[in-house]
Amino acid sequence: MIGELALSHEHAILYNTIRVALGSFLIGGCLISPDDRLSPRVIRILIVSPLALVGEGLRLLIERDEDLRVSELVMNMLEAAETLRHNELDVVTIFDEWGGSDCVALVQCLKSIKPRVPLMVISRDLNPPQVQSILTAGANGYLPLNADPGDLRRMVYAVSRGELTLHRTIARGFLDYLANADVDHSLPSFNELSPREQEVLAFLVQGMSDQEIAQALFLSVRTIQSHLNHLYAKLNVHTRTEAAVVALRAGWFPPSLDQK
Amino acid sequence: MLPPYTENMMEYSVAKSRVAVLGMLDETHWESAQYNLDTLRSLVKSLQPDLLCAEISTEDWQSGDIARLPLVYREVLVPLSRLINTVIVPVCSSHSGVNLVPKGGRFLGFRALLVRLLNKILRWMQRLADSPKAVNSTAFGALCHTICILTLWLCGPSARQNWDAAYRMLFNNILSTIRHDPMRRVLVTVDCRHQHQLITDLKRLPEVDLVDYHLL
Repeated sequence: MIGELALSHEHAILYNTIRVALGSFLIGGCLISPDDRLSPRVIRILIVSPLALVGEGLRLLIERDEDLRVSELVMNMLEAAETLRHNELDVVTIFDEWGGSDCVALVQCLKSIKPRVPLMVISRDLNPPQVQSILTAGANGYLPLNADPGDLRRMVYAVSRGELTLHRTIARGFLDYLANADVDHSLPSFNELSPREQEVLAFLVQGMSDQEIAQALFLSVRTIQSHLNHLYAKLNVHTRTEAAVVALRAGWFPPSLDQK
Repeated sequence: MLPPYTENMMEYSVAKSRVAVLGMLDETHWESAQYNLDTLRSLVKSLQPDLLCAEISTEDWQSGDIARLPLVYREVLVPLSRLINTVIVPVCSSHSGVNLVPKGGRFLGFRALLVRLLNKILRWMQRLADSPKAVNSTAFGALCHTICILTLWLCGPSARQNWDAAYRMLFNNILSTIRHDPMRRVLVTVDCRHQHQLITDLKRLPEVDLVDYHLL
């Protein structure tokens, strides 16, 4: 498995083979498909970075893709909350200079304002517990600061589709961490979920967006969202990321790096 | 307290799916299109149905090879569906039975000639109909249906059986889609020759609130 991951640095494999399940929290799950290029839709992004230079750097890197536009660049949490509240945005990108619980609090705050706006975090902190805290707070993606610029743009596309993505350099450690974590016995049993909810959760853990799950099951997106809401209530979570993390920790779907 | 039948009727009204049928020029879409695809794109984009029951075969759809689909699907409806969160449901088992060709029997030559003539008229009509509005107009629908009935009659019983079987499969798949995910806005895109019968059959279903496509 790790050998496959090492190969994934090659460009061709990136484009052809890396749609990997993370649970497919791998960046491979967020490759730009031809459909993204066909789409006339511009993705509007809010960057939150306490460091102006880093923020401007991210803006330049992101806007190299003509379909990505940084609508707002803010430097503190308060501004981020206000900007998100008053603007139509598609993705929030946070540069985590604060670390620890501050970034988690920011993610939670922004998710409480606009739960449907996907959010990704760029950080130098690669510790699995911190990654888990961020994902559990509601982030859709986690990117290390030393990632390639191309990975950054690919992750923006992936989270804009509602997918769950984690950079390949973090994925292995994170999966090991989840595998070794204690099972939470307060969770409902898997059989308490309806068969349809089990199906939806299985797709969700693979990192699929609502639209992809709907297409796979030939159900409308609204129906999938309804199943997700029931799932969240049963699992006592608020976001798809939390639900996926809970399912993985419970061992319902063994973490896998197999291809989709 | 409401009498039981009223409660049942209320249940029905709550559980109804809103369905519209949009006639398409399936055959001519394999050729260079006279049909205005931009108009169709704008129309479906404005409707944003929850589900789009498409007259494409399950095999073609599941193969993942969009190039196998008719032009209108590969150029317009499939890319658009990803943009507007509409889910495409293939409702046709295969293309068998769609091409009406007379086989065997007496007067074959004469009947074949008539069928070719009717097909030419249909094709000529389809070339004139350059937008979804024209294809779905009452006059076009009536003429298309009449030509289809005549062609079926000329083609003989086995062709009629094939056609009916294909239609029955199509209808059942649409019905199961509607029942599988009730209370949704469903756009059904079918060959304009199926449109008349499909509308008649859908109107009879209690769980369907059939509307004109522009009212979906």
